[in-house]
This record gives sequence, C-alpha cells and structure tokens, in this order.
Amino acid sequence: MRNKRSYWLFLLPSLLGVAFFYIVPFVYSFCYAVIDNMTSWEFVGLRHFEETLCNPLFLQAAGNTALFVCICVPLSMGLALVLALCLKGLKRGRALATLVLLVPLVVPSGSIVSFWNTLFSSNGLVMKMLLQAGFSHEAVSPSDWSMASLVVIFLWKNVSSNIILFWSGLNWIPKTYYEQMALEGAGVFRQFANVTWVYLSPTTFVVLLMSIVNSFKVFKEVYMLYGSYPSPDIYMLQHYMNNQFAAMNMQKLSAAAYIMFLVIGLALLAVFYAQKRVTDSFQ
Amino acid sequence: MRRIKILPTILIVTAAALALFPVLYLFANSFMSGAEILSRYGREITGANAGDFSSHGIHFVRFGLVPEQPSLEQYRLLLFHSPGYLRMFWNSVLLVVPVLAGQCILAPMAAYGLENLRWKYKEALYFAYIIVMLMPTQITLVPNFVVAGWLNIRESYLAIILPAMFHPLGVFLLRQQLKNFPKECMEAAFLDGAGSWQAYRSIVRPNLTSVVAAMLVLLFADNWNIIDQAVVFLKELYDYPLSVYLGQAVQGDPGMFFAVSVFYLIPSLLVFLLGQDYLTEGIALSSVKA
Repeated sequence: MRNKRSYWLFLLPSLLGVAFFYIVPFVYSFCYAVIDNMTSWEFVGLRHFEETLCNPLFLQAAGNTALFVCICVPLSMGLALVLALCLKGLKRGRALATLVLLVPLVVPSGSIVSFWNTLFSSNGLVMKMLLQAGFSHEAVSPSDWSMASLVVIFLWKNVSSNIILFWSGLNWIPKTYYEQMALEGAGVFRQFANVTWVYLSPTTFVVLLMSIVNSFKVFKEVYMLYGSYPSPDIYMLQHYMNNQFAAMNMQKLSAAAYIMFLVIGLALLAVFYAQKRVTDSFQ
Repeated sequence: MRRIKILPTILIVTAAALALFPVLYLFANSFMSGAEILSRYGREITGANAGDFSSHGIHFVRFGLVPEQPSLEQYRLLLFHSPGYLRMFWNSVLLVVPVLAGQCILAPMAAYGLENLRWKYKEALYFAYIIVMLMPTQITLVPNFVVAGWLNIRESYLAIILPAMFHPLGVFLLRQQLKNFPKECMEAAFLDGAGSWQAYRSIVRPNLTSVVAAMLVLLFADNWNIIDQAVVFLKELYDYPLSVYLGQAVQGDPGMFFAVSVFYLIPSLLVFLLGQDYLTEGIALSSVKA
C-alpha cells in the first residue's frame, strides 16, 4: 500500500543536513551577534550591529559590492537578452554557438587569472593601448579602472548562463503569436515589444534573481587577481568577512552576516513580489 | 531588412570568439617555454596592484598566441618534477568527489520525498531550501563556520565537504523536474503493489538520470572552482586545492603558470563536453518558476 509517512524518510537525510549545516547554526549565530564576547556571554543588544554599520571598512565594502551589483546585473541581463534573441535568429550552427558560449561557465577562475592579468595589470595590454592612444600616465592609473576590469571579468564568466535562461524562456513563447503579428504587418521591433517582452517577463525575473546571486560570486576573481588586500576601490564584503574569519571575531562576523542577509533577503522578496504581480496580471 | 538578418550572426560570432579567446590563449601560451614566458611577461606580470611605474622603462607584456619555439617542456616539468602541483590537484579531487557522490544519492531522494509528501507546510519548507540556495557564499560560510566549530572539524576538508553535500541546489533542480513527472506512472506502480521505495528505484530515479547529470556538471564546475571556503577553512598551503593556489602560482612560478592552468582546466572541460546537453537542460530548469 501507499504509505504516506515513508516519504518523510526520503526527505529526512537532506532535511537534517540542511537544517544542521545551514539553518540552525545561522539562527544560532544571532546569539553571537548580541553578546559581548565569547567568554562572558553578556547581552549587549544591538551594539555590534551599530558598530558594524558605522565601521568605515564595512561601509566601503558594502558600497563597492552594491556598486558592482548595480553595474553588473543590468549589463549582464541586457547582453544576455540580445544574444539570446540573436541565437534564436540564427539559422545554422546554433548548437555549436551554444556550446562555445557556455565554455566560460566551467573555466575555473584561477586558470584564467593570468589572461586577465596580461590585459589589466599595470604593464598589461590595456595600459599599453591607453598610453599609445595618448593618455598621460597619471590619467590612467590601473587602480582607477580595477572596478571596470572586474565588470569585464564578471560579464565574461556569467553572461552565458543568462543566455541559456533567456533562450529557454524564448522557446516557451508559441510561434503562432509571432505569425499573427507578422500577418498584421508588425516589424521586428513591434514584435519584440508586443510579444517577446511581455511573455518573457517571468523569465526576466528569474534571470534577475540569478544575476543578483551570481554577482556575489565575483570575489573569486577579485581574490585571484588582487589577493587578500586589494586597493580600497575593490574591497568587497567578502574581504571584510574574511578578515573577521581570520580574527575569529564571531560577534562582528554574525552581525555583518545578518545585515547582509536582511538586505539581500529584502531584495529577493521584492523580486519575488514583483514577479507574482506581473504573473497575476497575465491571468 | 537584409542587414537585420545578418546582424544576429555577426553578434553571435563575436560573442563566441570573445568567449573562447581567453581559453585558446591559455592553451597557446602553455606550449611556450618558461624562458619565453618570462621574456614576454616579465617578472611583474602580477603588477596589477603596483601601479607606480615611471612612464619610461615599463616592460609591457608581449601579448601573443604563437609560441616562438613550441615545446612540451612545461608539461613535462609539471607532470614529473612538480609534486606540489600534483598534490594540490589531488586535493581538489578529494574535495569534489565526495560532494558529487553525496549529492547524487541525497538530492534525488529528497526531491522525491518533497514532491510526494502531503504536509501543510511543505511549500514553506521548500521555500526555505530556495532561500538557502540563493544566499551568497559570504553568508552561508558563517553557519558552516559555526558548525565546523561544534564538530571540531575546522581546518579539515570535512568542514567544506559536509555542507556542500547538503547544498539545496541539487534538490531544487530535481524537484523542478519532478513537478512534470506524470502522476499516473506512480499510481500504476502503487496499484501493482510497489512501495514508495520500489517506485522510487524503478520508476522515478531512472527518469531523473539526465537531470542528475545536469546537476553533477553544475556542481562539478562550482566545486572545482572552490575558493572562498578553502581560504576560510584551510591554513596549510599543501592542503589547498589547486583552484586557490593558481592565484599564487602566477606570482611565484610564472613560467609554469599556463601549463598548470590548462592542466587544471582540462577535467572541467571534459566534464562539460560530456555533459553539455544536460547542462543546458539543467540551467533551463532553474528558470521554471518555483
């Protein structure tokens, strides 16, 4: 007979694991954030949160990370959408194009670091070209465009997965809609505005969600290129967190993690909410 | 009208070239001798941070794809005279394999259980999985660190492997697939007297194989590129996976660097080529709305 209880047994190993390794310790780490230190365990309220929010290093890191996310998310989404549409317009070689576009996704950040170095280091190719183009040496110090170089690196690695997401979203749109529009004499751009854009919006939200999540992974590249102590322009939240890990400062660590959790959680909720609103307006 | 038709092809070809170029560059440079690499890039190839050069006398890198004298010398050195690199490569293997094995067993079972469970708060539970999945490593490292303290496994591989085994990404991908699984198949199996375990083993699990493959490719790419966790947990240089050490190798050993990079890239590329059809499917699945 069909025993409904038995499904718990299938779920249980994973559930216990997720609870034990992620959820319970995260909730527990809130205790660390509101105590004085690990020996006295004296309750100090929200003092660590206050200190973290006033800490210039944390603010610098948060600002840099926010700037990076705000630049990268729209850029990678826009690029991916254009490329996915192109992919759809492609007559031949689509499988090969998809294959090639996906390669960056599996290239380990460390393997490719030297290539970026030859481009972006202070004696690298970009610098050489800028100097040859007539810029003075003072005008183009590498630390000025270290953020730009990170954006390039991020886009190279992360646009491809967004292309696939948009691509599968495009395939969900029934062809008859386009045929109808074409019969009515609509051009490519009106077809895009009236069909593609509307029916792609659920996918767009997923891509937005994944882009936000992915943009936090850029630390790998920053670490590989600039090590643990980069210039202040690209000092990211992960650098701040790593300093706290190294100092084993559980108070500052958990306070910072909770602040990030709140901010990211609110951003994700906003995306979920907007998605629901748009999906509901369809029906 | 003609112009609009040709434009997509041009854009795609450009994008594909840009995507592939850095990888080709690595391969080409890996056949240069150590001396040539040093003369091309100088010792200060890593001067990304330095920035303080007088405007004369900068030794700019000589960007190039074609080795002056192609040689396999770097690979010979790497494979037969560099136990350090091989050891770290092996470290990477030791980190990745248990994670993949664990996910391979746990994730499909959990997805199956979750899909068929009748419980009021099931979807809330699933939402919690999704939230954990979406949180950046910066945040999930904190609970991982706390648990590692409880279990006294900080500075050991287990601190990285155990949480990664339970990371919700696999369950998420598989459950999205199971939502489309025809219920009639299961009903038929139950009518024939199959239990939930038998139904799982002989009907559900075999049908999940391609998504499990997709999951494995994604997880491999992710864990082969592990950096954040290793930096936090591991203290000894020789315990590092090669993914982390590559960042330092570029400074300490520039002559070898390209060969080591390619060496580390190859397993990733192989897994990708073997599973690329599944990979596309897997990424597409994550777009199915929760």
